[in-house]
Amino acid sequence: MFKFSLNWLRDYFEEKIKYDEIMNKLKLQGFEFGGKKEIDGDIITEIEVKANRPDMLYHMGIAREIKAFDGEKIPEITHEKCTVNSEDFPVKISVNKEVCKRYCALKINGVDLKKATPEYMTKRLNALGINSVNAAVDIGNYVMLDMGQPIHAYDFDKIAGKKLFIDKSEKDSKVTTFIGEEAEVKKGDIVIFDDESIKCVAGIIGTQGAAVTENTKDIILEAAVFDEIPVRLTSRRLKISTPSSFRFERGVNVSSTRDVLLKCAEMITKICGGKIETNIFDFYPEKKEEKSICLSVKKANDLIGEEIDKDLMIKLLEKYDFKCTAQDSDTIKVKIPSYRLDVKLEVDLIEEVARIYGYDNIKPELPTIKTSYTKNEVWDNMDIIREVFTGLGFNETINYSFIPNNTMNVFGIENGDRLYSDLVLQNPIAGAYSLMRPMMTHSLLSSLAYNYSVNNNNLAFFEIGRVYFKDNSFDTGVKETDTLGFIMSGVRIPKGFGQDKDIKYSYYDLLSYLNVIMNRFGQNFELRQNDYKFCEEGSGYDIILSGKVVGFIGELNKSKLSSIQNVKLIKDQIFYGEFYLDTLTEKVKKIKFESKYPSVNRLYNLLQRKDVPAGEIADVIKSSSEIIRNVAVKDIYFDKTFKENEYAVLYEVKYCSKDSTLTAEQIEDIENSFLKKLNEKWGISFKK
Amino acid sequence: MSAEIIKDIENKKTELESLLKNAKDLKEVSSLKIEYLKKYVKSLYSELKNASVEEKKSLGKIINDFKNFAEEKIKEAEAKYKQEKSAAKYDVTIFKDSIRLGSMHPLTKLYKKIEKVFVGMGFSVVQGPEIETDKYNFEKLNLPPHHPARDMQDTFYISAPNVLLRSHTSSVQIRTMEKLKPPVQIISPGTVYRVDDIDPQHTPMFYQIEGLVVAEKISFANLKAVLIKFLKEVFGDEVGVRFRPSYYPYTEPSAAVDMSCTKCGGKGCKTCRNTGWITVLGSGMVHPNVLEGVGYDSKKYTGFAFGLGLNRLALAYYNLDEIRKLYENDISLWRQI
Ligand SMILES: [Zn+2]
Repeated sequence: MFKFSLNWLRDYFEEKIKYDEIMNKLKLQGFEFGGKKEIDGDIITEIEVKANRPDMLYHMGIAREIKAFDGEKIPEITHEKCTVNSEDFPVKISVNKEVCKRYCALKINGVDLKKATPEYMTKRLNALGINSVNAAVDIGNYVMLDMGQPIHAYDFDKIAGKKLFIDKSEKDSKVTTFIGEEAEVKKGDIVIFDDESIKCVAGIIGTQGAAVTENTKDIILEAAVFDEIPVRLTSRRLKISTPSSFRFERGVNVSSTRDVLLKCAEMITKICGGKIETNIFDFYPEKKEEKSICLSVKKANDLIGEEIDKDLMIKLLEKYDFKCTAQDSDTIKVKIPSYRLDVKLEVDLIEEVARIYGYDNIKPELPTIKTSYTKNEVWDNMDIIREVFTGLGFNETINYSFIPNNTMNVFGIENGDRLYSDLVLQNPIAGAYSLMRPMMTHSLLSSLAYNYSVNNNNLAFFEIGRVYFKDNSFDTGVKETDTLGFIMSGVRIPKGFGQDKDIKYSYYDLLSYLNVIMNRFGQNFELRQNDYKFCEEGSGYDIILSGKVVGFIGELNKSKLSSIQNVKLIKDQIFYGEFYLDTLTEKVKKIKFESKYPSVNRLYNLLQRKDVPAGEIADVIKSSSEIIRNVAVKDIYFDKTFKENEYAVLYEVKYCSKDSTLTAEQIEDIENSFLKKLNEKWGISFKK
Repeated sequence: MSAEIIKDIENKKTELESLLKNAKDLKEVSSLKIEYLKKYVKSLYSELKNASVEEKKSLGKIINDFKNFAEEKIKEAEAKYKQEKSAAKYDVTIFKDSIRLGSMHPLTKLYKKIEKVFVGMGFSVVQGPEIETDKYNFEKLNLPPHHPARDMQDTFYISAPNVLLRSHTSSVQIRTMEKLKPPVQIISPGTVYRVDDIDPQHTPMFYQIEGLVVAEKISFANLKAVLIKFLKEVFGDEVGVRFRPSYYPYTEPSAAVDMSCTKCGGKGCKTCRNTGWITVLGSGMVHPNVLEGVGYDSKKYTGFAFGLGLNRLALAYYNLDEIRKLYENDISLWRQI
């Protein structure tokens, strides 16, 4: 973000430019703006400067962009003549070229810093959020906001040994910045120091050591270009961001450093008196040659998808200060203006061509590409699950992937347990959003509880999302698995319409929903008991597919989980299940049985021990004859007359033959055979 | 003679009307129908045979009028009884609250609509990890360490500086390109994360859809056509689309894509901050450094990429005020859409 002043911009134009007009030109070139404020006859506007355009962080740059729109140029920076003789400069300066691209300095003798900064200057600086310090500092800041080059001033008399070093700090040390705050310089930070102490944290902020005051007589004025990355790192670590560090991080035009320095010195002497010494210091080890890039007209047109002819391309580029020479019928040699640090490759020039030509003028054309659609089975399965679950009345939720850091503790999951995870964020927004969830349970339970708090009761939810576990076999060190979670609580079918009792969600509903979705994919699953502490005792089961644990089900233990927000509001039992989607593939089932003869249903009420699974009994019944097509459990009930460990289960058996209409005798024979087997195996009796 | 008949017809009209009014059930209406519409009209027509040529014309019309009148009145009466009859058995305005479809999350619903358009154009859907390495989230996207553009995306870290929560799904595109040879045409939908406190207009997580096409001779004109088609298919043909120059390190040229505000139709409102436009997509031609980084020959292949944040779009699409509500899961809101 950079704020600019309309009145300041107007310095660059002969005629009085209109605000809306210049804003329109800038917007058409892709610049975006934040707020605007009218202050004292001026308009201050925030421009969002992206990382590629540091040349828009100062008024001259913005004026240049506006003028280019109409093919006009801004005048070059003019100043007094000078001679460069770095050897004879009054301060011995030594620069490490690894940290600094250019370092210019000059000396002004006999200034009077008791002189006030001109009003127009302080007004503009204040409007852009910069406080007035003294004339030398103010003019330096003014020049930076005007021409983009940060300037720093030292009191010549305070430079110990008349030596300055620009290098990495050799040790950690504490400095006091010129605004009086402590800062810790670390070994390796770029600093400017003399024989005694650090005078400036390079590119970021000056120290009190050699700061200019109203008593300063002679000034050393510095304009430098430091390496972007160290300035950025130090600024981040110190949490000090100054207009100067902001510019150095993004890049400063190394070609104009000396010109701006001289211009600044000229302004200081005009306002505060004094005389510039003609001999100046300029360290510029790798002089930046004017860069040229060859642009292929064909390549540009291919990438843009237009037919822009070569002459027009040249015309467009030259409007924006790119000097062009036609090499041959296809090639243009383009000189890159020194301030355009972002234009490095041919493709950057193609963007300039497209931008100046106008994106709106490029005619859309649909591509013809021959790619084949790659099936994404997990993704497709998610759609099936959504259809099935919304069809069953479940509502879809999406929760944050991070859950509270105490979740493992609350759920009673210990290090070493299958569901244990300590995969936490280093910089979470809060403790409640810090553990990457290893299960969907907390998320769905929280959503359920939240809905109870806003008076939405009797609910079933599902969520498709990821769970995360540390796993070094992945390059990220984490295994992520797409997972389905589902939860339900309260009344499933309310009383009324001739029904005299609410029917609540039950454990058997949970099992049945699991069965429905597994069946949808043609999967045969098994359940194996597990003693999850967050489940009611005896209700936790792992879901097994082809021998692998792929999830679990259970009735959640409300008292154990009652510390989770709003869970106390849920009065009914809560049923929960989740399983991983990565191993789920759809198995196609074939139709095995067809018959033209009628089928017969018979009910059997069997008194059985509770520890004998009904599923196994059904299997025994079914395997007793191929005439039995299906066995379904219709009811379970208890009666005082039963033994403690018994209950009655009502089975419905469907008989059908391929060859004939069944007779009562045939059915009776089969009946007797499986009832005998059941009695022998488990002592089960037939209850009339 | 005809005057008499005319008078009789008039009388029968009033008679029929009052009888219909007092009819007790549908059966009574049926007998009136036989009496007046069948028998009486038949007798009138036989009278007509005896009339003179001039009389035939005017009388014919009057008889016809009566027939129409009687038909209409009888129909009304029948309808009235039929309705009353069924209302007596069932109240068809009652629906059970307990029988309903579950709701899909609004983000899923909108996403599926968008996915359909891209799949229809031949895009495949690819997925990748949410927990990423710096290499795939930044470096391979032409964002070397310490690049100032990284400031745009404040990142969550699992272990700084290398393992992080992806800040966009561009990482999936890189992983996909490393696996496939061009041509590729993919969308990579998924959850992404950026450090942001939870407040009405911010969440630290959101849903993104990114797209990528790489093949020979892919141009900016292609990018424009695909994105215009997408926006028009999802938001309607009348929607306006414009492309503005922008900057992303992984594309060059880059373009921000605006759509005319669906809320105010471009006149200016709160949603579009009075500009009439909403920025919906970031896009551009894939930077040659990115292509070379995954082993593609950038002289032979070019491509375009785009990305859109679904959550902001969902606000405009569903007229929702607060972005954080998308993760509160208040089911009473989901049920409205
Ligand atoms: Zn609007």
